[in-house]
Amino acid sequence: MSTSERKVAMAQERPTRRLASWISLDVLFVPIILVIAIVILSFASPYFLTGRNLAEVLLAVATLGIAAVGATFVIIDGDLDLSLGANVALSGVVTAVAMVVWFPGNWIAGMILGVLTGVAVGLVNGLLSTFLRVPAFITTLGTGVIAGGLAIYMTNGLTVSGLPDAFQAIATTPILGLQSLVWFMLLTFIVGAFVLHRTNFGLRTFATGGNREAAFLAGIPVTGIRIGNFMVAGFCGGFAGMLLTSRVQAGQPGISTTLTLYATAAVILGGTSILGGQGSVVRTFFGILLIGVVQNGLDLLRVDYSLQQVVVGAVFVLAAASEAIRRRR
Amino acid sequence: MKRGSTMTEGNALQARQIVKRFGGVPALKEVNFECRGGEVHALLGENGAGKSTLIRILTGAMPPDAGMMLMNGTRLQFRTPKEARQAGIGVVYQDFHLFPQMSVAECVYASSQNSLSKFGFLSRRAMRTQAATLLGEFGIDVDPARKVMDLDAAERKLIEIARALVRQPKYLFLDEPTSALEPRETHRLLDMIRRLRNHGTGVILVTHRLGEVVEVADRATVLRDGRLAGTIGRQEFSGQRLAAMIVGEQITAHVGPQHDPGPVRLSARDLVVRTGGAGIAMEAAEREIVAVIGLIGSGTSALLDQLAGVQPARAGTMRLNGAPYRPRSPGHAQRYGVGFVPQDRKGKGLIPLRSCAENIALPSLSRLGRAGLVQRRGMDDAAQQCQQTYNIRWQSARQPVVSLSGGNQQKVMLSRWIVKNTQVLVIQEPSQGVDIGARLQIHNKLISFAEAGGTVIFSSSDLDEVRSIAHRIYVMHAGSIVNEFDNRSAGGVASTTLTQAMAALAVPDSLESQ
Repeated sequence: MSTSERKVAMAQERPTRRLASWISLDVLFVPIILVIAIVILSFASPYFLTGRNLAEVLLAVATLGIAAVGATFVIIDGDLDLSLGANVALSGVVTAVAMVVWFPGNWIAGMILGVLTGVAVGLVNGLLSTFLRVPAFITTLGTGVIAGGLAIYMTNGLTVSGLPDAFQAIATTPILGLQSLVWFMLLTFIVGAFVLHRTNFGLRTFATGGNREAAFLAGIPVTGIRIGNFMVAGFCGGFAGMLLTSRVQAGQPGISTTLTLYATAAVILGGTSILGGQGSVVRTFFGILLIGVVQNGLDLLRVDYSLQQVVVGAVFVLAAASEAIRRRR
Repeated sequence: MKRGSTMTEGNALQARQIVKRFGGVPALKEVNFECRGGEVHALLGENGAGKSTLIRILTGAMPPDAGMMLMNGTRLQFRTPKEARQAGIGVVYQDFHLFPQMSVAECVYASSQNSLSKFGFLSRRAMRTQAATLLGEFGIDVDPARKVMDLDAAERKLIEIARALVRQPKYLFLDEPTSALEPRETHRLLDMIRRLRNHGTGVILVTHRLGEVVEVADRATVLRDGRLAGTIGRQEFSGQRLAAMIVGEQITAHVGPQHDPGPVRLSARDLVVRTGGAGIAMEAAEREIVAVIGLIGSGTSALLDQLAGVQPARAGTMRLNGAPYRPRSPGHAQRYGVGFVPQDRKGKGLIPLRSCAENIALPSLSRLGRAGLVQRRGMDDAAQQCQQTYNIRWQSARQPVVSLSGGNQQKVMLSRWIVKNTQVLVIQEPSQGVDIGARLQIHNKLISFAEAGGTVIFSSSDLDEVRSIAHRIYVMHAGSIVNEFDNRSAGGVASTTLTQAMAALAVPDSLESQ
């Protein structure tokens, strides 16, 4: 390297330091809000900060959390999965119907079919969104309606009961004071974080969401990555649906209409960019905790359920707005 | 106060001992600047040297911390850009600020204070006549009734300048007016600058293209690290001298590739880049740098896209190292050893918010990782190596690539393909938006890449760049290759030869066929 080259390099623009400083604040934002919410609620209700109630909070958001891990992947990838809630319903119903009607008593086949149903929905979402070049929010809105309709059709709108007892234990066995469903959620978050942040697939997902055209030109199989992420979301939906069926001991076609909204809200609330390319599974975890804590708090304070919806909706809008503001800086 | 000899000139815009700090960091340190009426004054310097800050101060967009400004001996103090405009200072910024839906006439007069009708209404007809007169005066051949969105880049730039001229500024700042223009359009613009000078306007021209400075400027002021590096007159001009002032020391003269190419590596037969275009035949050898030039729309980018697998070939065949080469996608082309650097670095090249190391490693993840897992260590090591060979300036390989300057970003793009062990590099506009120092480094690295056995195929609208690094030059027009130059002979292709070859293409098709 000649001295002139070195000199030239010295004269070039210095990187902005401000970027780094606000990112760290950005990372801590939701955890801080969470702590504040916990402090306020523990003063407002003596019952809030009991171990039993906190376990309750985790249990309440467990299926939502699993679905939200999937939502994190598609959103970072630059897409969106609005069929997630209906996918949970359909997979749950398939799980139940499979072990009650198709293969009576064979709960393992039911579990596998349930999860596979979720993956299949994800695959269809991926194929439609990539090959038809239709924006994902439209295709998944459509597949969501289809999946929800199928779930109701398969059960005539009724809950499916009479599930094997062994299957019930999958989600409800207590381990170290927490129900296994909660452990499944934590496991999903850990595996999800590993896949997203430690594998080439995860890095390619970030690249695809960060700049799809550039990722394509850099040789990343963008179509495959997107389909893969829809399938990850589908898997999470199927897994959540299967576990939900195990927990409530019935296939319920009508649940989860708001699950899509809540899962997406948790992702955005956590600070993952709705525009793709930025975010993390850990952030989603904090988003989920915040939703769980707020809802639990409102319950304890005996706020009317309809009003709770208003509060959660408002929090969602605020989260989206705060993201827009952060972006503008 | 120090008084220079220039004080005797009454008719001038002057800045004296200007100081500006941003949060304690000095951006301008006691800078003196003067532009006389009827003079074209080039303002030069690398990115971050303080040009933009100086322009902003002189055009009223920000106040100086110390120092003063004078026009024709009278002290100036602006609180807003509007006050600067009223004082007779116009500015045309680098990015377009026109309203696409408006007509040319509307745009030219959109924000002017000239009352156009007796009753305060806008009269379209009056506007058009006035616009036509104004445009005619400066030789701008654009119909005032046309919509702005239908204009090409050069026409838009001319209209923007016309817009600034409505207020009849005594001094006009042009911030990189030619950065988005092709050679022929640049000529039009430089003609207009000359005309403005002849009208008595003082034109301050900010540009990275030193050829333009030598061609049109009367004097040049160079800033370096926020200080005045010097002001020199036309008689002292040379690209070499200016570049040395900008970078801060003598740069060795650039003499083009010295080595000879080897056997053919990539060849194409009967390629069709647009409907109706003739079949293209071209080749590029090992150790060779091939330039493809042509006006916008001539098919150069489509050709490069096909070579790199961005667009599937419509017809014809390509061969790489003697074997058939049919890339279906950029990823597929990479497996053959062909890498691509697109023109739009920020839009299509980089993942802006991801780290430099990741951006470099992107095509090589499988090789750098293990069993599908990301190996940060390997990625960082590869990035560190690139930083050394390419002299990339970053604080950490893990900082977002968007925080680097244009030149460093381009080096990241090139590093990507070095890490990938690419044989053939396909590059659109290798040094666009890159300052002079980085540009030279990039040119040197492309040459050493070729010397080490690589093949480079690039397109460029910068003929100086083409002459200084290419072994061979293909000229494209209307989807076909119409000319080929060997640039290896002593002295290479004369710049006039290339300019004329390009100018010949600018003749409209209708005339050509007659």
